[in-house]
Amino acid sequence: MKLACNGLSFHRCRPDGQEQAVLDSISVEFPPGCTALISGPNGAGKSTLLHLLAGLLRPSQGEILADAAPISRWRRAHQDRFRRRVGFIFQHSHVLIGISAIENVFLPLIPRATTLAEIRQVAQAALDTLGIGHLGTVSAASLSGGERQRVCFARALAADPVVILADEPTSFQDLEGVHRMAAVFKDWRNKGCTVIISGHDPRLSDIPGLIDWRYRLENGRLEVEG
Amino acid sequence: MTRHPLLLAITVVDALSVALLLYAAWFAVRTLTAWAPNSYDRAQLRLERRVETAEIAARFGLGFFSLTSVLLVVAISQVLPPIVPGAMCGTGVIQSSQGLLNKAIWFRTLGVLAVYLWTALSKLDRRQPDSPLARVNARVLLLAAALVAAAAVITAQASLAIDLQQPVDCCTVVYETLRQGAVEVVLSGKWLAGAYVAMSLGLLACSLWTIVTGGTQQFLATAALCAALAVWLPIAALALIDSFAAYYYEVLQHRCPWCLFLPEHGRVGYLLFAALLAAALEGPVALLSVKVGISHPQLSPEAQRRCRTAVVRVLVANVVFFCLAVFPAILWRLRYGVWMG
Repeated sequence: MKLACNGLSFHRCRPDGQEQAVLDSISVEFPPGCTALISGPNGAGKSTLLHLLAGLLRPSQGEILADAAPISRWRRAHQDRFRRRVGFIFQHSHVLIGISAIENVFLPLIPRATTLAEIRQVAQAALDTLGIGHLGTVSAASLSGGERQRVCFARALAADPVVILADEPTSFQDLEGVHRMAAVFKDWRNKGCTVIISGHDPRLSDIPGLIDWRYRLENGRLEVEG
Repeated sequence: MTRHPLLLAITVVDALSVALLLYAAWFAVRTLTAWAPNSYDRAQLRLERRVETAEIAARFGLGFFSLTSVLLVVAISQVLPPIVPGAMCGTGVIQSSQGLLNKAIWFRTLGVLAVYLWTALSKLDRRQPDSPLARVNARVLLLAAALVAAAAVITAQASLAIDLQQPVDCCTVVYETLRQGAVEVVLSGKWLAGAYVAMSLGLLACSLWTIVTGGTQQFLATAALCAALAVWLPIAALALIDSFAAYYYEVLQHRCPWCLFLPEHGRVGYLLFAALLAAALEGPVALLSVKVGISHPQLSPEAQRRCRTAVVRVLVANVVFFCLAVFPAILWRLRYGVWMG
């Protein structure tokens, strides 16, 4: 799925009541089957941009197009249908600690009207892909930060997304974890998935053949780096 | 003047629904004046978000209004008669309000009709992500808001006007005098019942025609159905009051619609008038759905489905009303071998 931003701006209200432009008239295209890396200083708006692309936030101005459809302007119910096709890896894992790892992974599959056995099978496969298949029955509360991040990654993959948005996905990973994640990103990109990663982890960005497009987000503007 | 808790509750909830609708109506005005679907500037995006929020507010407002409308009928027919001197049913209560409650009920019926049309249109609109019916919806919402506000004000005035000191005649006198009225002269007794049965069959035929046809024929069939409904509704109501109610009351010449709501008659009035209201609501929805399907081809499949649902509901309302109104008369005839009157 081709994602595009058309004059995208996002304003936030500061505590003093003044409006601050987090993103300012961004126009960019993310073609399918490509991996894009968005880097930039802290607070530059990388996470905000990913949240906007996922339909979790609405822009103040401009629009986001998914295969030429202005999804950012769609009504909530229709946006929800688009969001089901997006796998989002949050910066802070957002796993539910009261349930097991595999239950966390199959949560997004429950509304899709498949059988529980099928859901369990898909969720287990996603955990296996990330190398944490043995942790399926373990309570999410007892997982480490890195393991939780991988569960979050598996949860994003389980729903068979056409767009993967990853917000600092390797921040809690060791080198082995970074390479495993990079391999998964490559696999999904080669399947035609649009992969957009935000972050500045050189262990990930320097892996050869992973990143197709590099962007830098600073002062609300997105510039192509290469 | 009465400060009955139920009337106070109706007034308060009405005020809340009017407030919610006025909020939504403001954005309906903005939609009519500033809606620019091809633009993605700040003002348009903000308006799109606000319109979505306003729609939720309007749905709550209209829900509250529908609830208070039902409560008002319950108040008139069940709760207030024991405290209005001389009142035995809703007729006495309406007399004690100098007829204002009657006016309130008519405004509420029109309000509920506009509300229902807006709800049906809004549901169709939500089927597409880009709100193709935004302007039409805004117009209907403004109409609904105006009617709801007027109905709320008249209901409040009627509540204040109810006189608990002055005894009323209630239906014993009033509906006896109706015998000499214009209705009696134009159509009465068997003629009215016959006209009702003929119109019911006509409505049935129109409903079936609408269900089986498609395309441009469907518009014609639906228009014919609405025309048939416009004739059927008053004839059905008159036939019920003039002829069929007698078989529930087992008394001749008692032309009171409100007595049908009393427990001694099984509160059948709720079902009978609900069937009439359902037919009155669904007919215009069917016509509007077909028109939307023609003017917005992207909504055509959904609009056709909604039209069929509406027609089926008209059909069911027709059958339910027929069964409830006519079967007691047939039973009477089978039991005693004669018709009443």
